[in-house]
Amino acid sequence: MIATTPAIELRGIHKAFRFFTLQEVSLELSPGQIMGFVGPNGAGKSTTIRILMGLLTADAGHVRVLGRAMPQEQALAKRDIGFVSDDMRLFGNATLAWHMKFVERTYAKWDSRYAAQLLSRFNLQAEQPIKGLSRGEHVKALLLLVLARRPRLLVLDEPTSGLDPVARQEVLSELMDVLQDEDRSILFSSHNTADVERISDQITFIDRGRIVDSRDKETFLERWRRIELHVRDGVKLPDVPSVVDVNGTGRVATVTTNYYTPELHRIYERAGVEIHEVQRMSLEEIFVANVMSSRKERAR
Amino acid sequence: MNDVSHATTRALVLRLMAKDVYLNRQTMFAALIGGLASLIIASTSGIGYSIGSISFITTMMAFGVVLAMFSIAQERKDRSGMFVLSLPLAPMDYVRAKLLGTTLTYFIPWSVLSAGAVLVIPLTPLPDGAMPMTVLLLVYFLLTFSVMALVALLVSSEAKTTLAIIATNMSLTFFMFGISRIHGIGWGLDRKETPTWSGSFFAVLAAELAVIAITFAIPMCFNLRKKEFL
Repeated sequence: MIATTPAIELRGIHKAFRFFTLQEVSLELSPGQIMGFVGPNGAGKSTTIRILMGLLTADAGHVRVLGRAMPQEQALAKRDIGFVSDDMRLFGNATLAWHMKFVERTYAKWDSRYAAQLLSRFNLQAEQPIKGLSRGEHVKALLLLVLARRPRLLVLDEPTSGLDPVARQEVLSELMDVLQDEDRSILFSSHNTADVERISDQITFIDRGRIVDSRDKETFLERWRRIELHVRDGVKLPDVPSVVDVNGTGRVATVTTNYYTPELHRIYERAGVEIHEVQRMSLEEIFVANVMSSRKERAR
Repeated sequence: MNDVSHATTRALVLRLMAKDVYLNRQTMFAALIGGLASLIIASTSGIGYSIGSISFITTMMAFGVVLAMFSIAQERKDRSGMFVLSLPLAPMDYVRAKLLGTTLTYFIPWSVLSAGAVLVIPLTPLPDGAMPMTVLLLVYFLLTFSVMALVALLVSSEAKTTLAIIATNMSLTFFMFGISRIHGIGWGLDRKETPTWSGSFFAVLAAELAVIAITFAIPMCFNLRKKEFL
């Protein structure tokens, strides 16, 4: 397969359930990229991931993973995919060593030395039965099993969910190390924007079954601003297309823009509005503002 | 998929079957011990035969239910099935591996205990005429297991599964009552010194094997059309 083939390619995915519908979901992940897939609980992250893993079949649309059509070619595609989900469990009655042996026999690329390193780094005991592991240890065991077989694509569905801060730090640090391999792609779903901001270079927001926005992290951080304005009596705030939210009444107003440029200053100055402060926004603030403006847009 | 892919999938299916045997080894061992102990008790005369027979039937039926519940339903409930589905195989391969693996896990103790049950008759004072009924009963255990495995694979509702357990257990009573009244199987032949392999015996045996074959075929066909595997 040539290196330019997208690691993940979803086009116009539609999947209807009784109380939830995934609509027109399209996203693309290039080789070597790390995409943070962010959305509130019930937004459709896990459904999208299960469709791309071949575990659910979409009602409409096309899915290709590592150049393979899904779900038809999932057995071949999954040889190079490492998938970890927050609700995935290992066999409680078996030990981690048994699981390592099982995965080693399944994947030719299993790296025993790296597995031993991860075992030590994650402070896991190979001979301990899985049912005796804590939640954090269980997640680390799952990550060990996928990382040591060196997959070309990692699909991680809320892997840090329910972990204590120390375990989360360990998991994220290991993922950062994995990123050194430029050919490996990662799709990392979470509702924890701090985790996503730390490791992703591309961000996709999903809400109520629809993709709200998708672009690289720097563009999000550069474009979104919160601007505090002083509005003189009798002056009306001008309508600016890039402003997605306006708060406050009277002399002080705060606007949120999704496309901040110096031109914005000129527009407000011309209207007689004084810009008091321009604040950068965290990814979490951008996520919330993005989702809220998208909901307002849909409600119109 | 090419030949190499098929070979890889086949190897993985075999590993998953071996996994089921390994993870259920304690249940298998318990069934073997319980079944063999029951046969020893049954080989004594009088009350021992009754106690041993009831204990043997209970062991075989309970083993089937426990296996279907713990090996199939529990794997779905505790989400370890998700781990298997992340491996390089299609959901249909998973269904096949699960069905074959669980059946193999049941079949190993079943074949040992069935051989033991058949051997007990000629080696003890029990009338050899009871052999055909015993064989049909042993195959019926396999049938109830296959029905329970089918239910565990297709039904996720605990209430429906419980209903199926009750139904299969009750069906055994009707089955035993039914075949004991069929001329050429029960009806006094079970008290004779030589077994009679009548046409009725082979007809019931064929019906049992047909039901087993159908219960194996259903999950394969059903899952081919199923769009959700979790």
